[in-house]
Amino acid sequence: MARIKQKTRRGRNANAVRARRTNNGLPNWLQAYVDLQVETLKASFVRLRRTPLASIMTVLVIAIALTIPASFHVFIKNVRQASSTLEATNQISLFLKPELTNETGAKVAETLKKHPQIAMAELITKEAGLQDLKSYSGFGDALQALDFNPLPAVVSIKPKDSLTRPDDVEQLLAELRRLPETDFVQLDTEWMHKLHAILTIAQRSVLVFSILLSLGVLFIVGNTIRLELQNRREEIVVAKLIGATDRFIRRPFLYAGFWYGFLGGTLAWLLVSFFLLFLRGPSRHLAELYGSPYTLSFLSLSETELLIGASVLLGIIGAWIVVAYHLRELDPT
Amino acid sequence: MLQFINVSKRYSDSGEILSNICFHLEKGEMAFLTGHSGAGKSTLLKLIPLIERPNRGQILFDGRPINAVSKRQVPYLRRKLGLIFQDYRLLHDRTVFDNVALPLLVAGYSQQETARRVRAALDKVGLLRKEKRYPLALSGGEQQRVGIARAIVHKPSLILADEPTGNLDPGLSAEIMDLFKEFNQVGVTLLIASHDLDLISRFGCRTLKLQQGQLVADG
Repeated sequence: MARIKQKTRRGRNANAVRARRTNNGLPNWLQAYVDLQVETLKASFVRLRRTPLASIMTVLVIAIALTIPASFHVFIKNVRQASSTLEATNQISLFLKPELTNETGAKVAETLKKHPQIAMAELITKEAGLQDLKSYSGFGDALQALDFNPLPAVVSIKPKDSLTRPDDVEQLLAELRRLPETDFVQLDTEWMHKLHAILTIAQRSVLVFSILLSLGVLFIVGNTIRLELQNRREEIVVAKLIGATDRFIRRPFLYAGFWYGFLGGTLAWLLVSFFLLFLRGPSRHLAELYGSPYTLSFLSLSETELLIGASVLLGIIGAWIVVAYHLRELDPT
Repeated sequence: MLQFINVSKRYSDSGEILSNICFHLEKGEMAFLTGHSGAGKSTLLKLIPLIERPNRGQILFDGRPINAVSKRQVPYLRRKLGLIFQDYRLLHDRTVFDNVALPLLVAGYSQQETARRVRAALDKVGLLRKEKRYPLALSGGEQQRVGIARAIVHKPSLILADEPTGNLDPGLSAEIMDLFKEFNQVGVTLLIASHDLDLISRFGCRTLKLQQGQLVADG
């Protein structure tokens, strides 16, 4: 029977040779192949539009399933980027013993300014500290009720930019701790490390969500395609009877999967963008509070490609699995 | 062209449907397959496009044994056949043109070639003017003509028709049979299953008679 196939192929090639080339200069058989692909792509889209409600629901569910991990991812990315712009301001706060006066504090600050590894040392007096706390913490009224100032004076120290190695930083901290005026020393980047640890955990969760929701997308597309297969039962049986290969029968369904994935992915991209637009105002306000020029970053081109690409791939794979599984049941009898 | 050698077909639930069928259909021949319903006509026709496979015996098509055709090769075998059904089996959501074009679409013909051949086939069955209609807007006789156009559009070497006039009144049936006769006169090979003996007798063609799965008359 291989001979029958060969003969068919030979017959088609002969047709191609006999017939003139087409307008695009493509050989006839290739033109026929391209025609078929384009026709199927168009036809499968037309089919989607024939049942608008069902199609929209499928696309919407895919979009929502992808929007959740994608927006979570963008959120984490932004927190990470925003915090790294703050990281440059590597600050040490030296809290003086509470009994010491502002004058002693000023002297300490003067001495520290001359330290070879310190770029700047500035005294924040007890009063200035309380003022800051009142204006930023939101506890203004409660603090008003205090009849004494519980805050110590603080020397805010900015190390030289050359001081980057953790060991050197640690050494400077140890030196500061040994000063007799020191109550305790705090490296303000410590919270950053904690934040990063939390973000790493969050990022892993995004990965897990992504995998679970991708499986969800696979099932949604699969189920939609399964219904479509049932609706087109008669057509498939007839196509098989007149010599359609499984590949031919599978093709429109794979294209339908493509469309669901593509539309769902694109809609997810839009939803993520709307989500970010919604956050833009408050995040700008937050950046201003930190004196940071940071602006919210959207999905990058490669992330967009990944989102839509993954969605398309899930659509096609979902369709493939279902068609491969059900095609055997549709043999003519 | 088509040769059955001791072919038997048995279903586990209904026993032997065909037993030891032997016949040889020559190229360019037109033959009728008759018998009561349940005699095995449909089953016999289903063995040729491998809708069913025989339990025993050999079927040769174009000199080659079709038992050896693998599942993947079945579509290529079916493209050499033209199948006509009692219930037409048209796709109601496609126009007459698209229905007839289906075998060419499946085989990968270009659009130009397809349009040319579809119009030629519709012309032969006298439905050229109705190519844009949908099947349900046509009469039964016209629907069967669409089915016939679909079966000849890819110029198959053998046409198999299973009760093609089963749903039609005598006048329309005769028209359909005349159409088959015309095809036969230009060299098409046909095997037509029908229980309408009055109609068959008018043509004086070779008749294979099945009775309870046995070939009881040939001539």
